[in-house]
Amino acid sequence: MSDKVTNNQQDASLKVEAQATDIKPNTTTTSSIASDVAKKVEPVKSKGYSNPALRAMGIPALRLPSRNWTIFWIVAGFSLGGIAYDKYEQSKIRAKWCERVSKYGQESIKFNEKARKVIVYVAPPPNSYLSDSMGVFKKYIKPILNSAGVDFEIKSENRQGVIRSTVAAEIRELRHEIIKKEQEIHLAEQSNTWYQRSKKYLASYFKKVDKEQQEKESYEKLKAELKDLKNIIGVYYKDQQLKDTDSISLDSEILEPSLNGGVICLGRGAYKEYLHGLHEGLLGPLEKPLEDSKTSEKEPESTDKKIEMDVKMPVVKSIDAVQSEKVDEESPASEKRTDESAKEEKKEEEEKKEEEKKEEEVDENGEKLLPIPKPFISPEDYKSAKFAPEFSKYLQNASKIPTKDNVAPIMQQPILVFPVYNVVGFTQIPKNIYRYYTKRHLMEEYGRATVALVENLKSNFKIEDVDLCKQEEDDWPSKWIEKGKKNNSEWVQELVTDERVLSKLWVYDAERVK
Amino acid sequence: MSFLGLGGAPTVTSDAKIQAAEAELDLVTDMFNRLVDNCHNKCINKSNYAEGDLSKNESLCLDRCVAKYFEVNVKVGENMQKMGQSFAASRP
Repeated sequence: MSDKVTNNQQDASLKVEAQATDIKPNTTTTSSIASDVAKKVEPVKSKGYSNPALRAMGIPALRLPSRNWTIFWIVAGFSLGGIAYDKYEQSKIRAKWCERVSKYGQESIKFNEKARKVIVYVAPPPNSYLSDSMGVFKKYIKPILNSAGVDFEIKSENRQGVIRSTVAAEIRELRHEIIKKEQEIHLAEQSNTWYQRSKKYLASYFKKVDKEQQEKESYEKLKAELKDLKNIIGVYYKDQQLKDTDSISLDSEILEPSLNGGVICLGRGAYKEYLHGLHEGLLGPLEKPLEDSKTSEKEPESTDKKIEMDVKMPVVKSIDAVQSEKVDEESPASEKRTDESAKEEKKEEEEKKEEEKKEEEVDENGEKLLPIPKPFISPEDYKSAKFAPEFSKYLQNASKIPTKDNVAPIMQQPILVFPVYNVVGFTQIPKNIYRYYTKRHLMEEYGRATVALVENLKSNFKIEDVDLCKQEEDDWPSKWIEKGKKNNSEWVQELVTDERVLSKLWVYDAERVK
Repeated sequence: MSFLGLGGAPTVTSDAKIQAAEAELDLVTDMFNRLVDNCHNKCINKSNYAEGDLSKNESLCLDRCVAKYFEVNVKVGENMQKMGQSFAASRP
């Protein structure tokens, strides 16, 4: 277009543009000149394109907007269009995966049956909030689980170490239960000899009938009956058979333990903690190891402390006297101290002060944060530790380890790990923009993995699976990693594993989803 | 929730006990009915009664509906209690 403009016009338009850019607002000296110039030279208006056909239809000459506007519309169009395209594709892919599993969700289920339940361990990405990881779960994973009729329970953490300690505590509790049951069986067998039986019979024959005791017992029974609402309301109260049916989990009827439930770990940190928790529970001792007598002197009394978790979950009490250690997962407790007594006393005072300070830590609700118990066994001792003997006979037969509701425990359930990509910083803005425009790939990947979970496409845990989602660690800020290494935090430590534990695990395999 | 579960008032007469039990029964029945109505409206698609059995999705939806209902009940109850306390405290 500039070629067609004559030289005079070109100079004039250039002059106008030059003067227009030089002019600043609110200056009285040059504004009058500008308006004079503007009156004399009008901006060039393009003639536009037309042809007889268009003219006959009454369509006016087609004009492109000016160069600047064109640039603006192209840039805006591409950016908004890219976002719209990405969102549209995401919803299409989500619908595809959800439709694929919807047939499982429409299967019928009896009133007393509970659907398959998956445990989700969520940890926030470094230097960021839990809502980031939860956002990943809600957008990519939850819709597919909901469509498939798979129940899930979310166990989240806000500090490092909570997942590890709760997983380990669960396993230890299971071991205790098995020991107790075996002891009971042993006792029952012992007391079933003819001598014991005859003794019992004679004792009951001569027992005085205590009226008061009987009344109390019937009162308690009535109380218990009333507590069970089934006796007064609903369709139950007339139907004894309905009342007697207990709720069972669908998983309890499945004999193969690796087809029960499932464990989802959101984030590499959560996965590391989960593996460490498994190792600690399976290879570690049942009782908390006593540290040196020095630290045990300091503690006033033993209290059962609960481990705080954000979302409702069955509270696993740490079984032993949890010493009220420093609420400081950042600094490693220096256990070995061979100073003289004077120095020791000084340090005691210092530590007490530190403890008091640290114990003031409160979480967002203003409730006091309880200390995370230290691992019962450190990774160096894995090789010399004994694998849980209580489980050996069940694992040899490849049968389910017995739990209260007959669902296989978490260590027999296959694992699925999702990376949570989160990169922070000014220099990372281009990377973030790129990621924002390509979330449909995440939807595809995460959806495929979730469908593998729903359809139970599992494979044995290979040694390479320890590095699942290691690429997420590229996102972790290096300063955070350095600080973590200095403080000996859990996530930055190398993942030390033991073959005996890993050989028992299973993994959901996304590649098997056709 | 049960009146007998308090176990802290042995000197209450049997009449009062029976009345308290009746009142509690009323409350419980009322809550149960509301719960059933609400959750049925929310979870079960009334346009498709092709089967008598519940599907897994509906069953999970019902579980969650009941859980939420109770949580809401508890929270609202706590708030009302607080309100009632502050109201009683502000009254001379």
